[in-house]
Amino acid sequence: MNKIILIFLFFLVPVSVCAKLKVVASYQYIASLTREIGGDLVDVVALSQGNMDPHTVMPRPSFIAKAARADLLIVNGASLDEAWISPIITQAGNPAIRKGGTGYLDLSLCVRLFEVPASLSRAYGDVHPEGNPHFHLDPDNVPAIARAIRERLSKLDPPHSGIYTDHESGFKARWMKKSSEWSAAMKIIAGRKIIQYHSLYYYFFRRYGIETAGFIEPLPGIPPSSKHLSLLVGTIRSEKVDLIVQDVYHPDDAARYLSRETGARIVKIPHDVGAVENAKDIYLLFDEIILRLTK
Amino acid sequence: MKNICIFVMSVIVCFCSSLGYGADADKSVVENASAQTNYGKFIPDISLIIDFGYLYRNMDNGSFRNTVIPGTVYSSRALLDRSIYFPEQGAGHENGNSAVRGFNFNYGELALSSAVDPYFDLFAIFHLQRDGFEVEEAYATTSSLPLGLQVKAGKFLSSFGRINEQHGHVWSFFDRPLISMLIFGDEGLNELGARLTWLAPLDFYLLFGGEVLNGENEQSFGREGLKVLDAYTLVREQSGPALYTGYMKTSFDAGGWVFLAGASFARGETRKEYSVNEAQMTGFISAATMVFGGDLTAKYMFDSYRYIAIQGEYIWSVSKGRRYSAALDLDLTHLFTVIESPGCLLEQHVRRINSGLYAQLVAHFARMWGAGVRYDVLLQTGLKKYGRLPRYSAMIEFTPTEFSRLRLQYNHDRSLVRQYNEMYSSRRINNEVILEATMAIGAHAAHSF
Repeated sequence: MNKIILIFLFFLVPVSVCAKLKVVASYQYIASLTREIGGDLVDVVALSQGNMDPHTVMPRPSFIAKAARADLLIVNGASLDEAWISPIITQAGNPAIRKGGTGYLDLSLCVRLFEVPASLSRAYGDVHPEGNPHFHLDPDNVPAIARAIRERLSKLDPPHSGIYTDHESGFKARWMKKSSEWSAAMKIIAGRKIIQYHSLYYYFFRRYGIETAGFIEPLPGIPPSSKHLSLLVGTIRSEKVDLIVQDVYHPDDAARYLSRETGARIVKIPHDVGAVENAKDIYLLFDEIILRLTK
Repeated sequence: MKNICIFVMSVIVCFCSSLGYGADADKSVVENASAQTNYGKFIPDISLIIDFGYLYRNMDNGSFRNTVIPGTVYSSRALLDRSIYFPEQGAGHENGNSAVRGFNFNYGELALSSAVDPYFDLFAIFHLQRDGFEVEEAYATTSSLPLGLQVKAGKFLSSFGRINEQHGHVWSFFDRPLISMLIFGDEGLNELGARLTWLAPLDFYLLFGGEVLNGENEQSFGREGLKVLDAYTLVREQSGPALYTGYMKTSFDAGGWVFLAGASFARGETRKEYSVNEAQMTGFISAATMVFGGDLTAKYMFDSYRYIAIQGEYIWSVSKGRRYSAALDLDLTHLFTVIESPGCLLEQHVRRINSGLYAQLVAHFARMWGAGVRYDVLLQTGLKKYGRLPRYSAMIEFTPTEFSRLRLQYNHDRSLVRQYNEMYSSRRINNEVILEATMAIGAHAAHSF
């Protein structure tokens, strides 16, 4: 009996003996960015896989176990991860990571969102009331996200705040350098028009002055009908679109059809860290996107 | 009074706008209202689910209503061999779910939820039928207990097993599995009480839970007393909770597969009055019932939209105790009015075992399309002469978005029996085709595993 009680007590002892801050991120890009800022001082795990549709992540029970012991939960926000994160938060029973808790960070609050719908109805498909949630794909938003993460890490772990600040400034310098490389590389395709499946790369193409002439899905979250695709063929021809941007998780049969009909080239690009093999961290994610677009 | 009216009006306007009904013309009104009160932000998450459909069945409505799943039926055969015998009436075909041939309104579900304050969350789910509105669940959960502990209290679906806690619209098939129906009834184990869970601080999911419940279940649990002539107490009424459950759930990820396994136990008092065939005979059972359950779910995601899911559950229950009834040779309508001489009262020992399982395979083979098969069987019931009682189901479903679903299901049901009288029953085979539409509006429902 005593043994059983001892085992029980052992489980109850908080595992804060090792002082590393435990961070759980909803998406891989957040985890990558947190590693840049936190370095060895934090233990970061991402819940969703980079190659999956960020809108429809299946909440696994193992996510609950991870969230239960986290000091900090970082979410994308803007209703992208809400539907699968909120049951995790409820079931984890960890007061720190609840909305409004010290360990809950919503990144959508630190950047300006675009494509905010004027009116809301599910008849318009899967619209996000707050605006387009894929803001991390604008390289100019990334430093603001990094800063929000640094501020929160410093707040939770004040003794190391100096180190976090150093990491952040180092990251920012490297990021600026990379960003100017990316701008230079993207000049090759500036002013071109593209088709994308979903408004996933809105912030990215906005940053580089590339216009999206149409979407493969007729409404957000609604797969294309043949009628919509034939309209799109007309758009591609009249707007002289020559790139069809395809993400890794939607089926690409519609893109292949459009390409066959119009001769436009399909480029499959990652949207998150881990979406394709080479996109191993936040830098390589953008490297890979730009490499594939400009190839 | 006027102020209250204005307040109520503005709350309604905010409510409408939060549901997305705020048409452009109303916009200025909405803005004014929220500028003044801003209560819109405090409106709980509201969602409404409506489930309706069309049913074809080879039995006519009258015959179907007279059938029951054996086991749940009081069987006179058992009386003869004095071994087994049980109180419950037939498995209810009375609720609205595909009750009749033709069109059916199955149910509506209105759900409200919100944080109460930093310490509690509140949930209320109302079950709507064509002419009824009932509280299906209404409970509070704690949100800031330390050490991975969480308390839930109120009226809620027990976490016994896998399917019991889920609402019907989450199930992969239209109907409740037979074994769940047999042991917990049409509405499942839905009780008043409290639950404590403890999530072990481990790298994998390991949850322990225990519930203390009133124990007033349609099929298996009750806490009534039996008094004869308002004086002599044969069975005392249970004053406090009469049902306890305990369960353990664990989950692990292995090479693309996600497994969730659970083991559950329940023990409760079965003190219930029962009647058979409306008014033929009335009796009382006083027993203790133990229920054991094991469940396993495995899911494999091929990509964001395609998966296969395997789910199975086995439940075994035993009841031991006594039953009281009026002696058989008297044509009695009600036990309590006639027990004037003790000789009329029959007291018997009861030992009754029920068991069964279901196993299902569902494949979501395209973004909008899924299909599945289910094998559903009662292994042990009160009526031994029929042996195993199986039901075979197959379904195909179309889910345009996560807010709407159309499902076509076929059941070949060999579990039903027509009870003609005390002594005679015959087996009925039921074939049915159910077309079911499920629609949801309002707050975005949480995704679940």
